[in-house]
Amino acid sequence: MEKHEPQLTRNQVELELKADRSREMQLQLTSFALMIFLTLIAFGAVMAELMPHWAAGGFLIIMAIVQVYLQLYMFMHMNNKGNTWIKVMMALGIFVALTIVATLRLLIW
Amino acid sequence: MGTHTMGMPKKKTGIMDWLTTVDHKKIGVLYIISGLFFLLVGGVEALMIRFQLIKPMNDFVSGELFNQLITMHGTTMIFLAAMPMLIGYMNAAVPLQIGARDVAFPFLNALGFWLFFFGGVLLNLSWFFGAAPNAGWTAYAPLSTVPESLGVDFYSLGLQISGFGTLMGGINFLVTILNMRAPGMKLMRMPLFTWTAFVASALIVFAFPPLTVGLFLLTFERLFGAHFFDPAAGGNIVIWEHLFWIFGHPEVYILILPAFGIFSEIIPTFARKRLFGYTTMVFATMLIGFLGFMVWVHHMFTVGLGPVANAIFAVATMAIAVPTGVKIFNWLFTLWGGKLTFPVAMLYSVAFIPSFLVGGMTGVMLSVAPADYQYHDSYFVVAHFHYVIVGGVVFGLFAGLYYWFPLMFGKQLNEFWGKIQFWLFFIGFHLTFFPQHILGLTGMPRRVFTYLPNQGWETMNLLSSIGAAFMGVSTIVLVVSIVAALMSKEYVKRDVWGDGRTLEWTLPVPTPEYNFAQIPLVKGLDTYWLEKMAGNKTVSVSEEVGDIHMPNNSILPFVMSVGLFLAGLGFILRLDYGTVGLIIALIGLAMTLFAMFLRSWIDDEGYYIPKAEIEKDLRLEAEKEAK
Repeated sequence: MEKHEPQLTRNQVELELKADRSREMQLQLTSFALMIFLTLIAFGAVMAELMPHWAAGGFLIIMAIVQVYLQLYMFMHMNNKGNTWIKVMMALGIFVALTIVATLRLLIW
Repeated sequence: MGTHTMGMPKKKTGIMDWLTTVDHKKIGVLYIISGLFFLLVGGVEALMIRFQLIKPMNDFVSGELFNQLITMHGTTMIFLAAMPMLIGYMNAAVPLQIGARDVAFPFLNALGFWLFFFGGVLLNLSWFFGAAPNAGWTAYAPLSTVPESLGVDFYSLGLQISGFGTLMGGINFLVTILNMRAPGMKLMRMPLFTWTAFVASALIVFAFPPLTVGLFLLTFERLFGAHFFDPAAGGNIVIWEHLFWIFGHPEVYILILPAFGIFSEIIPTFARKRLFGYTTMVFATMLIGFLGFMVWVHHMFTVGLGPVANAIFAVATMAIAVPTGVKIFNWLFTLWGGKLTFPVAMLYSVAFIPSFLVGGMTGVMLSVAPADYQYHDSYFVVAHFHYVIVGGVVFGLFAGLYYWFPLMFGKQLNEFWGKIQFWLFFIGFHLTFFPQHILGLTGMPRRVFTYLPNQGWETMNLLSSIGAAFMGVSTIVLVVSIVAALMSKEYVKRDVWGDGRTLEWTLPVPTPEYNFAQIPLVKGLDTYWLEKMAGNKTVSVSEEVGDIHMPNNSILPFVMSVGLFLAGLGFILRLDYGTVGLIIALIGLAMTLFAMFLRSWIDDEGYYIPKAEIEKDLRLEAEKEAK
């Protein structure tokens, strides 16, 4: 006995695709708003002068890391499949850059 | 596929075909030929150096010319001979080994070659201005920032231009290897040369940017009055050393890894055995590439960075000996119990193992930071890096040349003369560089243009120079052998070695421009060998015969590179000739920008080779095989 998979009609496929796209769009808009909000916080934190300099610096770096993550994963589709090698290469690049910067920071400046 | 409106373009012939080609096989040939040319140039420089040092107080060349010779010898051999020849082999073999019809970006590939070529020409043009670079191939500041010596400008701009080309090559091969593999060619089924090409490309992508930055700083310091390396103006000379070696050490692995790959192809072929420990070979390659970024300070142990920095980098350096040792044992175990034959390619591969091992051992000695204070700046270091670079990389280049020459040119190098060439080179190499260990340990400093008698250095220097003459004769034999092979009318058959294991040997000779009439289906590591063992004459295919999409030839890469060459030359001449130089520079930049504009503006969709044509080729090939 052959088992029959439920056949999707062309219309259904198109509808699914449309729904996917609108979900994607929603995600993009949400993350866009989130990023603007985060940028405002970062600016605000410095402008309001609530923190001492060293704390503001650290805070900015944390915010920057969050931003890079959001940009890469929400905007630039890093969460999609088939990006493994891009991730590996980026991780390597970050690692190499950090090693170099850390060494030079300790040895020169 | 239906009918295509894009017809076959008119075939270009002769020199125009070579200037406009985007075919990876032809670009590979261009890389090899120009690499060999620069190898000869660097070789002549080496012979002059050794002739000067043949006896104490020799006056064959002046101290100034000697400085130019050692600088240009190092720079030429690394950037213009070894690396281009390896990239040439990557072009010639990698797309064929992974079952692809071309590289991912054929236009970029051509651009990469022409940039390297014109960068090299610009660098060597300095001889004709009587001002070759003279600050050593490492161009340490502040020696390299002395404005009077015009030569370093040729160094910084020539290397910058040729570095752009190398970077493009690296990006191209990463994408090609990741995206263009035939069905079934999983990562862990890739031939080891492809793997090493992949890791070396990744190293190029990460290591060349620091060089680019360093060279830009140097260029701006010299041509536009910046003060990055000028302590009086708040600069720091050690920045150059760091930037240079952050690039320079991975560069060593960019050279040696593909050479390892070449040996890992040749040894299994002529041992008729699968490569021992394939998986560990792959991981050792990755590990060497990864660790290669964490050891650059071992070139700077005596700068005075402190015991902590020296200790960390010394330990990291020693760690690299582990994966390299794994590779040595794997090659030995591949040889073990194999049905060995020794054509020249195999002779070089077997000779490589002990020769490179000596270089590796002295490397571990040098990595001991306190001891390095003793070896530093002596001939011991010269002996060490020539043992790894000649005994490793150059042996690899020659082995690859004998092995893939039939693939690239359809003809074979003479084996008899090849063996003579091998023995001359092998003896000459050890005779040249082994005595230099002793010279170094008895205190002879490197980079001196002469020395006094009665210091116990005469005999070893004489031996070393005699060895260099052996290598010189060997190279002449090689060149004659190459010319003779190219002139001969004797074409080889498919799978010239009879025991080819990888996909490149399944192709007809000469390889058609589309490589594979049908993309193969890969069934495992050494898929051709597997098919042979299953009694098949050729490999399975994964598609029907059909139209094949090909990229169009283009002159634009050549024009862009000539433009950058003129721009570089103009900016150098600006210092001495003022406006004339500036005009040349502007014309050059305009050429490059205009060519880039044309490239973006004109839609170039390539063309299709019709199915009928490919069926005809297949029929002819079948008739040839039947004979």
